[in-house]
Amino acid sequence: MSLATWFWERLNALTPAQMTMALLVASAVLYLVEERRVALVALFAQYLLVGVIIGSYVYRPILYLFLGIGTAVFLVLLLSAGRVERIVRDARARFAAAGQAAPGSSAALPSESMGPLFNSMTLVLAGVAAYEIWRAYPIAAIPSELTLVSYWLVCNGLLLALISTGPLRIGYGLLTFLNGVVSAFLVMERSLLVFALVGALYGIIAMGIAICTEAWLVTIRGDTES
Amino acid sequence: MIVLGVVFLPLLMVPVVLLLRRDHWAPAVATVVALVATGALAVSQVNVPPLVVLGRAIGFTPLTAGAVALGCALLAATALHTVAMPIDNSVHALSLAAMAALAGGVAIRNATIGGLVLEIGIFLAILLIPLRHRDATLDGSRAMVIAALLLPLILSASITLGSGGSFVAGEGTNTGLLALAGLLLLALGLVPFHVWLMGLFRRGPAPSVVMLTVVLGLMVLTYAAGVLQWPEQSPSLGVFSTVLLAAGLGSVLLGGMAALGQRSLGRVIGYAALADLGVAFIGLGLEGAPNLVAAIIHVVYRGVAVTAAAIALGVFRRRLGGDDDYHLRGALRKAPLSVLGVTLACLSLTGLPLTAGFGTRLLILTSLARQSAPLAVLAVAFSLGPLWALGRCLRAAFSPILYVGDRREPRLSGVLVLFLGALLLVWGIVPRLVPFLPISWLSGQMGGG
Repeated sequence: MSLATWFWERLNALTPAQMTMALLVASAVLYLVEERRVALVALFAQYLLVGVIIGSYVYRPILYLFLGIGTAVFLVLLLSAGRVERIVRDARARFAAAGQAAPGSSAALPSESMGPLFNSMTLVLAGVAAYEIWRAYPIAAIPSELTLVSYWLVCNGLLLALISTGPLRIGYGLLTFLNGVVSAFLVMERSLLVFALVGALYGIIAMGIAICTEAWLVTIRGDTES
Repeated sequence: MIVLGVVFLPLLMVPVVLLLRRDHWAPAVATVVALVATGALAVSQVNVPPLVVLGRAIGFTPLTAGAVALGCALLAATALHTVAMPIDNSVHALSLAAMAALAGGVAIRNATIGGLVLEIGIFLAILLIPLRHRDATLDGSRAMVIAALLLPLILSASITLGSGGSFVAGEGTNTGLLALAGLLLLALGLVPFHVWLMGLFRRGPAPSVVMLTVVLGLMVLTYAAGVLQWPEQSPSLGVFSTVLLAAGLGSVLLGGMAALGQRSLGRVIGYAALADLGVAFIGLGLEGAPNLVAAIIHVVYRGVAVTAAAIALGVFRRRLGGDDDYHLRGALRKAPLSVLGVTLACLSLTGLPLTAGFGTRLLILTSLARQSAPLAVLAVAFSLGPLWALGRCLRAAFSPILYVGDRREPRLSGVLVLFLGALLLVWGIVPRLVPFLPISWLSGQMGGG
């Protein structure tokens, strides 16, 4: 038995409650961990878990393609996340060596999130909002637990995108939001053409996030080197 | 098969433009050729039986072909302007890719598939924002969030209105209509009041301004018209009409008020364009076929005016150093064609008599007055805001200051602006010359024909 098969079977063996807990933890990591590469791993875990959840409702090839897209997005953004971490760390080291930050340095060394306490409160808000929307607007064509997962990802991603101040973290929120929309939509519209278009959309969004992040890095380097 | 050329021709030109991107003018010329050919192909396919690919019909109606042709023509005008005033050529490649997807979105008759292709086009268009300026990266990221919000709206509208029932348990078609209204308001920038588009008016290159504030809106409007079968059928849409009417009035009032204090022509035009779009939404919100047709034509006039203004703004920023009333002093001597053209375009945008924007605005506001006179009076009163701010900018531009420098306007750009401005004047004076105006409607509403 290959490692991938073993891992897949383990994931499939999780109960819905365990799956929901795992998604909750992955979302919490996205909110609370400042290190962009770790947060990206949490985003990838989200793709895996969403894949497992929708796996029983869609054709198997669609599921594998969804996981393939998740892997591609992860790899593209991993490059960006690695560069952001390195450049921000170098800039911080330069300021530390200079002894004191230059005027306007808060813009030069940006933190992409508002801090753990604020983010925790937002996470709770996202959970409450998702639960209330799930109770008020159940989606007829898809199972109840999948509706909750979709609403959870939508609320979570939207709030993460709204409270973040850097393109990479906004991008994580954007992808989480899309995962929520797509997880519900793929169960309603199971055509391969629809899925191909959704895949193209993910590709363009990942490219957009990478472009915005690269341009943002140029401004950081410009500010810190001037 | 020709119908597929409308999508694939611009897509095939993308690698060509990227390969030529180090050249001074070749990418712009290649873009112009591709866009003109795409527009002509779309028009040639009107009323041709749709092509069925993978079980989905692809074809153009007069409305969708007209929208694609107009979008291509306006983008081609801005691309031609960049021959004289070069910009980052990747803007051309991205514009072509976005145009291909947007055209595909309105050509595919299946609302869900078409909506997904349209969403891809919207994302490609939004990538123009981070390209315009390095400092615009956060604007670009936030615009991507707005574009992402459009996806559930497109899907819920297409699923609900396509199947005749709601996907939310126990809800009626109101969900789909509300989703469609939300899609229009977000994609056309009425919500949140042009905030994410204002940076473009201030600093964006002309192709980006036209793509994001004219072509994208035009295509989304055409998509919505396809879903609702406008203007052939104009049923009472209840909550949908109310939302559009309220948003239109809000935009007229806010745009008018916000324009009043502006001293930069770019910002004045941004708010005037918002207020003008508000008038079109009032027309869409007021039920009845004449109002719908007037609103759609008003959007076309607005598109031409914004294109002329965007090209002129590019000329002013490069040649005069800025577009505020300080830099505009004596602009008539430095950039006479652009100043005259942008004056005509802005007068149409603000709805002054004898210009194209006046006729449709009058029709829409008259219909509004029949339903609620105080609201119509309010809308007319607030329309004076952009006019006042524009007057201030034009007074500076027309001030008799002697200019002895050699930084004149590029002739090509100036001629383009003047041509578009003159077109709006001619269409305003002789509506019969408007090629896309339905003659029966024209005879009934404007006394033409």
